[in-house]
Amino acid sequence: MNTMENSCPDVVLLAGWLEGTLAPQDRSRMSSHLAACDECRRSVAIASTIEAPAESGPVNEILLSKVVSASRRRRILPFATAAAAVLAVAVGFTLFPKSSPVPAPTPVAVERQTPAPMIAPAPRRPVDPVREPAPVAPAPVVEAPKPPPVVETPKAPEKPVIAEKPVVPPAPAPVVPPPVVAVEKPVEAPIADPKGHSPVFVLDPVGDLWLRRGAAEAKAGSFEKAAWKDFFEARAGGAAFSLEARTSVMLEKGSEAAFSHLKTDDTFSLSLEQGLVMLDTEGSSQKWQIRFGKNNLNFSDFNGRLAIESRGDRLSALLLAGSAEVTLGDQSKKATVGQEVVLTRETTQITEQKGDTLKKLARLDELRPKVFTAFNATFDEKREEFQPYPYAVVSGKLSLGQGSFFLQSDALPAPKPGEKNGLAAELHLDRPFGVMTGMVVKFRYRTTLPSFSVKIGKYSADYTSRAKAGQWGEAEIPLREFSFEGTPLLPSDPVENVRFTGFLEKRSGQLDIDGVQFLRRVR
Amino acid sequence: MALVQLCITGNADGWREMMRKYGALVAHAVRTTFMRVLKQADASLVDDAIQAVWLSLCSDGCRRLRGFESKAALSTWLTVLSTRRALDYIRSEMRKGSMRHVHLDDEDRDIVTELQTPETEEKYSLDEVFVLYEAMEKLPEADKLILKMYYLDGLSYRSIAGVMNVAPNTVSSYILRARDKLKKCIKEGSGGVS
Repeated sequence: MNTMENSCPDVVLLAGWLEGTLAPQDRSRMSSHLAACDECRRSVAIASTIEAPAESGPVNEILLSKVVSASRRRRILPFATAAAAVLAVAVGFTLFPKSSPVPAPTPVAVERQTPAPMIAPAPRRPVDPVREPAPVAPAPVVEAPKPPPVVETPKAPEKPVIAEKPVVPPAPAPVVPPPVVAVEKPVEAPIADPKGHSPVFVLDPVGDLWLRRGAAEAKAGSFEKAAWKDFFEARAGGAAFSLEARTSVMLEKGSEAAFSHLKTDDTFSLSLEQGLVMLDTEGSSQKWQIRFGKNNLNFSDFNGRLAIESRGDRLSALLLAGSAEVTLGDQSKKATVGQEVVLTRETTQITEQKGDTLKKLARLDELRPKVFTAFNATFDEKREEFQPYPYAVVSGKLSLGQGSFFLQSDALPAPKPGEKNGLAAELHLDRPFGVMTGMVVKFRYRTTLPSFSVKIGKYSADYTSRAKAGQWGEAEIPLREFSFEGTPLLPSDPVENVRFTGFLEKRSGQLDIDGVQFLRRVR
Repeated sequence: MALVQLCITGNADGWREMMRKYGALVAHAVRTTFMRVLKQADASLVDDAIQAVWLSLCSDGCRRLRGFESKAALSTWLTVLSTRRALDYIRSEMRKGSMRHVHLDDEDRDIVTELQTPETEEKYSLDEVFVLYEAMEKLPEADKLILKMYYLDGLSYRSIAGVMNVAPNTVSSYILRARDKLKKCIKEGSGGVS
């Protein structure tokens, strides 16, 4: 009944059919299709009953921001691909002129290299909040100084959809390519707090999480940048997300909270409007500031789990697990698991009472994301506006595969005569993190080597290739398998780099790496 | 087209104008689709679907928006796109199990009831519905389309007339004629007298 035809017509044909503007043969073909395809018929049937509302409402600024960034994001891919292809051809012609003998085929046959196309080897690159996609190749378009805001002919008030006539194509005119936007009004961005509160990155939300900025609101996407004035709300159910890949945050249904970051002393700030918020530092030691009225409740050396609940004029903070030092004004004490710190908006003293730890821990485990991603490099990051996991390529070159980039190892000369040549690729993490229990490193690889090593700092693990030579395979190595002279990598050890190395049995070889992730799965 | 071109270049002013001008239409189309299919429109899900419509316009290098041609008005194109995306959204949410009490096929029963005409006193049980659909597929396309629009999609005579470019008062006779053909087809299919 609900048959979906394999070759459903484009929406423009459905719209044309609805308006009666199709050519007779197109109309007849469409009628045949609609008689057979429930999906298309249902779409036009519903659309035919819709009359355009007369009023136009306010623009949702958050949605607008997402739409604008998405419309810019992927545009550079064709340019990048084209540039890479042009460059590869140019390099090919330069290096291998027709008269030269054909070079021996290298293992990398399909992909063409581009000279440092994406990530420049510049470590400690700050995250650029609103980065315009840099043109990879000069586009053959006429650059207009500034496009008019809207050039569409003004129309009479909207009529019912069916009655509306299609836009008549203008008289033949010289084809002017779409103007490249040089100057334009920026989309409303998160507002920085003059007191030094920087926006935070929210990653991989689960549940019904919404972002409210002033009057605008939108469902939180997989990557959001939010300032101290932006509120996250858990609506239909509980929600959770990763705060800057450092803290797991769980919001109980009906909760509203704002987050920011004080860069001066690396402190996260939480302002809880209502509800219950639970934090898990995922094995790292952090500083948190809970803002409530005139009071700031500070947690330093906090490594564990904390539940913060707003009950109207009272706020409680309950350490569920781990340790922390709690400070209110000039009072400071060691937080006790199970003891709730209660304060009112005018409180000046730390008051403690017994809290319901077990119930909240159970709820935290229920709500929390099942995977915590501490690092993720796809090697296509520069196409995105933000880079949640900043890194730099120390060894290796980024090469263009089928639509995306991967890291191709550099050849290493033998350290001593008689020793084997090697291959190496290395990433430097601009924001190191601590090893967590149960963490794994995941990556894709393509190699001609029977085995290779993965190193984190001085700790290494050998990996035997399971993929056929020249084909991509997936690897996952628990961090507990990394060791240095018999000493294993332990929780809280820093992860600052990851290096892939192998030795060549023959004169040439291949070790390509893609999709490097450090994950912790939560059971 | 100028507005569309502006949006394709990623111009914020262009998108702002597009959303200002057509935001209410997209929202209305999505909400109507929810109401027609689910008989309810949960505000949170509707908002989510509206967002999906807008993001679908600009995803993949504005592929969909690039596909827009002047063959139809932008408002009609957006309306059809919105209903289609809303249907996709509902289907995907149903698969995920987040939507319950869905009445996608409830309207299918109406045709069974209406075919139980008093003069023949024929009874079609729900188990025999598939026979009916089988027969419907054998009808000429114009008859099949009008029956489906009327019985399955629940369109009014006026709407069908608008969609099919015919006079509203002829729609009822078209439907009657198509129904008769359907009955005949069913009888023939089950070995009955034509």
